[in-house]
Amino acid sequence: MLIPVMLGVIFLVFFIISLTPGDAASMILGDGATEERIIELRDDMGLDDPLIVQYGRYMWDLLRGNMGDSYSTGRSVAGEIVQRFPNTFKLTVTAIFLSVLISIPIGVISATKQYSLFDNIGMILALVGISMPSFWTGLILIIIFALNLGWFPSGGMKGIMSLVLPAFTLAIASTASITRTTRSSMLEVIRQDYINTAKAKGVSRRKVITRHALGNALIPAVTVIGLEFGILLGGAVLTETVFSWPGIGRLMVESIQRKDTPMVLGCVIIFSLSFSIVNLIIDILYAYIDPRIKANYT
Amino acid sequence: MKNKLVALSLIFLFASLLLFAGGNQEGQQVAKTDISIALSADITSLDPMGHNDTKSERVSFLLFNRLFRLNTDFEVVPDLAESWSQPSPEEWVIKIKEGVLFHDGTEMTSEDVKYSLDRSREMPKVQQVLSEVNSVEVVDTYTVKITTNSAFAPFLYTLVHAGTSIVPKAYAESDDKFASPVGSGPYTFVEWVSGDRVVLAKNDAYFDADNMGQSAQITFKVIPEGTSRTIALETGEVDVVDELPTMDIGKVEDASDLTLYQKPSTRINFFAMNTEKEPFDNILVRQALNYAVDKEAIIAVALDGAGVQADSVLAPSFLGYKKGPYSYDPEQAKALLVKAGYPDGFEMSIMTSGDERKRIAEIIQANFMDIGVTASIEMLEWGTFIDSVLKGLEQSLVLGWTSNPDPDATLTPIFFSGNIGGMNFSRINDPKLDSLLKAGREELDLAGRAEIYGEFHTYVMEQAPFVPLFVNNNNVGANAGLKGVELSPQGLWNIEKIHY
Repeated sequence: MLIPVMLGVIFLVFFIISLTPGDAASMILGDGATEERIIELRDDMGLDDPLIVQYGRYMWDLLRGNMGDSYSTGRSVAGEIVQRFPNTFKLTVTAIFLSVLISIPIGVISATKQYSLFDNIGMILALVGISMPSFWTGLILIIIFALNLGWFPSGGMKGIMSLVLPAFTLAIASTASITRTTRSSMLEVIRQDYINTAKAKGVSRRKVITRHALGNALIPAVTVIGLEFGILLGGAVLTETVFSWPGIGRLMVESIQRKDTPMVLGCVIIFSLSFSIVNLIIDILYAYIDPRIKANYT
Repeated sequence: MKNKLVALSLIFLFASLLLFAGGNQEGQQVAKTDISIALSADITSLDPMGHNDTKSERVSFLLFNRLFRLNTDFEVVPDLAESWSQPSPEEWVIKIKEGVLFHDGTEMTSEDVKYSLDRSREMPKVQQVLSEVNSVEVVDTYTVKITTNSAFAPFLYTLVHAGTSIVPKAYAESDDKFASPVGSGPYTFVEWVSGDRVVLAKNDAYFDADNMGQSAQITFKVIPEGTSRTIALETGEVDVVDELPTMDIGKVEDASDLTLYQKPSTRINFFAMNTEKEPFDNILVRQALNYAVDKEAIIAVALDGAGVQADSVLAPSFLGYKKGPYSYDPEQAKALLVKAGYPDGFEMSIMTSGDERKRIAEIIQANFMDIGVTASIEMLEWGTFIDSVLKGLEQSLVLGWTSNPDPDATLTPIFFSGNIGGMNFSRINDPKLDSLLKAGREELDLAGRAEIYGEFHTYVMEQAPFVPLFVNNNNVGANAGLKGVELSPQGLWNIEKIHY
């Protein structure tokens, strides 16, 4: 599944980029380049070959592990991604960890105390969280916690403190959707007969929820967590920009603006690869969470 | 089940802790011997010949030296050059200072100079800078002779470009590929974390005692978002913000611990008319529109006031600059339109791209309405816009241009008839403009050149292919405790002199 998806993505992006106006050779040479130099470079780079030939050449290089050099910096695409990707990974892991830590308990309590004050407040907060654009949340957090209180740096990547605000900004949005999913699947599960059975045989309320209900309610939540994780790994462009975080999302957007095709393709490849891998891991996790799924395959 | 979850979370926690274990745990408050400067975008290359953008230039200027440099008044002054002479109009003999050491301890010789200038002519990003150079020869250990293709007056100006930095031949030919560059400049390279920061340390062995680095360490921090840059300045995380958003100028001015520095830049914004198309082939129409535009309103609305009115096709800091004859006078504009045969005005379109230029175009639209000209605005995506302009599809356009320090570097691309289909936006084809441009390139005497360009300004404004709009200010915000912050028309200057 992974390989055909990747091939499809690369194919699509390659052709979409080629449709955009602007010329890579004149971009590399900059203003004031002579027409002859541009033609010469176009020729060297094979930009006048049919698109399908260029695509074939790119794929052939890629198969041998060569992602090419950036048009704008001349540095190797793979090297640049290796520098940037760990930063995005750090941010994503922390953000998802934070949001799981917050959202699962809130979701569970909201479900068990449906329509209570806690539930209503929780769901309103989730709605607010999902509706706030991240660049706005980010700026508000910066103004409160960096500018006024001075607890955290306002941006950059230096030490664990600089991670807190961007991770929270990202966590707020994903917390909202994970909470809502946990709540609704939990609501479904606690209405099942086996929960009543458990209650009837005298299992404590706490145990019913943690041992009998939660495990069964987790599958949809884990799916959402996986999706959020995958999306964030592709780089949270706005959050990375507001917090000057040197992640892969900013790299991709800046490369698109510079029409830096090899770099854009490199970012897309790493994005789809990590998305596919996360999905694979989630599929494997299902088996651990729900033994019935594992049983189907053994 | 529960245990598995706990174990899973523990693994997560542990993994994330491990990730940070390698992280730098230094405190945020920098000591006062170190300064940090916010850049709006990352540098593209540490190789002085591998880039052609102002961010990378800031770093290259600190790591490397060129034969000449500019002072804040835009005059050429020697940097590595000790003395120079011109045996003939095409020949320049330049002697470099003796005893200049590269950061690896080797001494700079004319071999390095020849190698660097030859390399500069080969490297794609900067090869156009020295396009007038025919050959570079080594005369003796410290002297080179450069021959140009023709008599080329602004030649010394080309030698101030970062792309003509002198690099050590032995290092440049090594496999390091400028990953940790070795230059001769007032600062040495420490690290570049892609997308985050560039760190430089003072070079104590710098050859020029008068221009020694003042701070022990300089960190360039990449902060792409304008508001975030201002906040970083307010919290003290950075000491200098190079491109202050115009919106935040008032804020910095009001803060007692911050200082605002402003100076007109070399960036001029203009409204250009396609002189090949009706009605702009009529000089009276072009002159009329020059009277019709309220430039002060444009500066107030589009720039939050951070600019100065432009009265000719270049910024005032250039050699031979002369003001044009126009002022904001709608009555005069109407009278000229009647004279031109358009008593009821006409319909036209303005092509442009981007938010700021859209606001500019809207004010021009309103101004034209006052004199009976109905203008529609056509907004295009940048790539499409440039493509259309190069093909001459537009009737008129709004655009800006950041100039290199010599007038020729801007005027020839924009007004020479040979550049129609290139950067000659108004597609003007005028033999007198062509001959003035040619004369300006060949006249070696400074006063003589100033006179030629003065005549050029007078004539081009009379022909009126452009309505010059405004010159942007460079806006720099800095901590009030900093000394030595200087601006040239190209922005923050002599960064090595900034210190607490």
